[in-house]
Amino acid sequence: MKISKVFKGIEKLFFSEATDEKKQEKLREKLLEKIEQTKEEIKNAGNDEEAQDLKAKLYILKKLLERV
Amino acid sequence: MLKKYYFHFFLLLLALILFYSHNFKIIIAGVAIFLIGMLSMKEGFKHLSGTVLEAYLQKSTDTLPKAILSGFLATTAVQGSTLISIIVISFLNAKLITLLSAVGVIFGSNIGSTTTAWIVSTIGLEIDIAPYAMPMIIFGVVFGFSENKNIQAIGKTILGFGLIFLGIDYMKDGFESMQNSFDLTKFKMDGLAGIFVYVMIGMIVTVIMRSSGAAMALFITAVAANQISFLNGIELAIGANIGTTTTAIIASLGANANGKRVALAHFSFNMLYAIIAIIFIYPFSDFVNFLASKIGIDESNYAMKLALFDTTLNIVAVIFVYPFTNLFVKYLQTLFVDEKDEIEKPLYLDNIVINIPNAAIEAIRKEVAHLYDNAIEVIAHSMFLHRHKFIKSADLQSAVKDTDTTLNTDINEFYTNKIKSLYGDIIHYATLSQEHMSENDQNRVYDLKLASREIVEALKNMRDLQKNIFYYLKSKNSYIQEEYNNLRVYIAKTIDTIEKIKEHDDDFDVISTIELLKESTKALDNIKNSRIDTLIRENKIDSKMATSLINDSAFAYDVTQKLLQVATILWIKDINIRTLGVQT
Repeated sequence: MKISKVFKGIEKLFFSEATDEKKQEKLREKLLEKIEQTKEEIKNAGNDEEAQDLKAKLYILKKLLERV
Repeated sequence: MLKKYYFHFFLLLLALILFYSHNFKIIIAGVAIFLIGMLSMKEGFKHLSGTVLEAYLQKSTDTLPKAILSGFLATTAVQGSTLISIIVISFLNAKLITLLSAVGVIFGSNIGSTTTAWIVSTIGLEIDIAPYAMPMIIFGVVFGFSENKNIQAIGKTILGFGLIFLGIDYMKDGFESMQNSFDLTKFKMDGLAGIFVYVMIGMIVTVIMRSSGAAMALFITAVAANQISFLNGIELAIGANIGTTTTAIIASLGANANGKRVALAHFSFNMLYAIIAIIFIYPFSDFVNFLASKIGIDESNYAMKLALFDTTLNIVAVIFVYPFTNLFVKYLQTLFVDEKDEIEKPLYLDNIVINIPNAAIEAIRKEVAHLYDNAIEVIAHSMFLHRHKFIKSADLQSAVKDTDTTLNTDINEFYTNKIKSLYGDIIHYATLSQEHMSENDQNRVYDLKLASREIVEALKNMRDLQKNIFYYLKSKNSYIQEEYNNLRVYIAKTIDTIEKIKEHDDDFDVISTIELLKESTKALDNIKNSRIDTLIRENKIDSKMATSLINDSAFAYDVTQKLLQVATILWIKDINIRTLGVQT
């Protein structure tokens, strides 16, 4: 067995970091969760001004989701 | 000059000892191997435990008992109190922990550093460890060939352990063979003279070795080989505890007030340890003998008894100082107060932490935030506003209209005194710190450098804006006055929003607020909208006013975008979310 394979095995076992793809997937999930939470907050908004602010926030969150 | 001659004399003396005594040569070689081992092990641990250790120390030090326990556990884990002291000073500078917690960690760290003595006296001397040392050294070196830095760090740790055990074995062999030819016990000294001489020797040996762990290993091995009496061994241990503070004191000379306070706390604690130990040396050695018999340490096992003495006395000293710690910390806070200077100095860039990636990044981030705060002061003044009047104001528009034209801020002077030198220091420190960093950490530092540059450029844009703001605020043309007020409102709103962002914990809330503001400030880009065209067509402003407004709107837009970019870099914690914001 080559020594480089041993190193790779140890690296994978102890230090494997999430790949970029996995990180992006996780970020997308978190953003979707936040979007749903904001939608709920819009439904429960106390007044029009608050609802408008939350709608603007929702618009930005959706734009951010497109960037992921 | 004198120091140079001392060093030459020391080298000559060392050469003579090595030439004339084979046994001393073996012992000193053992000490050298032991020291290299400690260095290698510390480097390995430092890399492996960096993030975890720092996070642990930051979160587990909110009360004094917790701080002491954390100091003990962290030092035991990394086998070195110096690294812990450095991290503690960096956290204190970054205001992540209080001085009380820092002092607590130092107390705990002193107890933790005695575990080296236990390793030497148990595993090192009781077990024939040399056969295990060789494979450890071989594997340590082979692991070092890996390109992965984490595996290299494991290699350094294993290599360190191997060299430590090999070093102990050499020392043991040296002292044992010395028994046949040279008897050190004939230099045994009792009474006050013994205390004075052996404490001094312990101190000097530790200062030369720059490690109390290595010095204790040497003393314990000598005691185990019956070359030094147990009582003289105790006196050497007391000297080692005093000697170890000299490294911290020398390091603190170049440090800031917090670094000096922690070093003084460390020195005072160890001096107290020494005083208690010297006054009660005989009853205490009896107590250690009694304790040793109770926990099953053999009566003739002086090596373990010496380790027990070191640990017990450190615990007793902590118990003794515990009720006075609050008072002591209050006193420390009155010392080393930094003098105010015309030229702004960095608050967080401590050279002592430059090689610890996470601590260095946090120091740079805090310093850039400091630079930002300075810049905001001058940006507000150059718009003829006081920060406290519009930040968090319920009616920002009215607050901005409350202009104070007596605020005659010279941006150039302010830039020279409060920005230029600080900016230079940040860039210099950040560049040096990047040398020891992984690619990800280097990128983070690059972003922080970028944020500093954005702050400086925003300030330069304000310098160009200031003259016209002053001129048109006094204009009799209400339209142009209104337009310039608008520019001020946009910039003030950006500053105000960023202040609110600082208090948010949810990164998504922060980024959505920043992005919303970016959208709304697009209105400033007047060339793209028809507002200014209407004013010209309807003859409400003349051509000179129009060109000034077009230029200044672009400057104001630039200022807001740069400040928002800085906020994204400084106050969004999650790297993936931050990247989403920096992309635009």
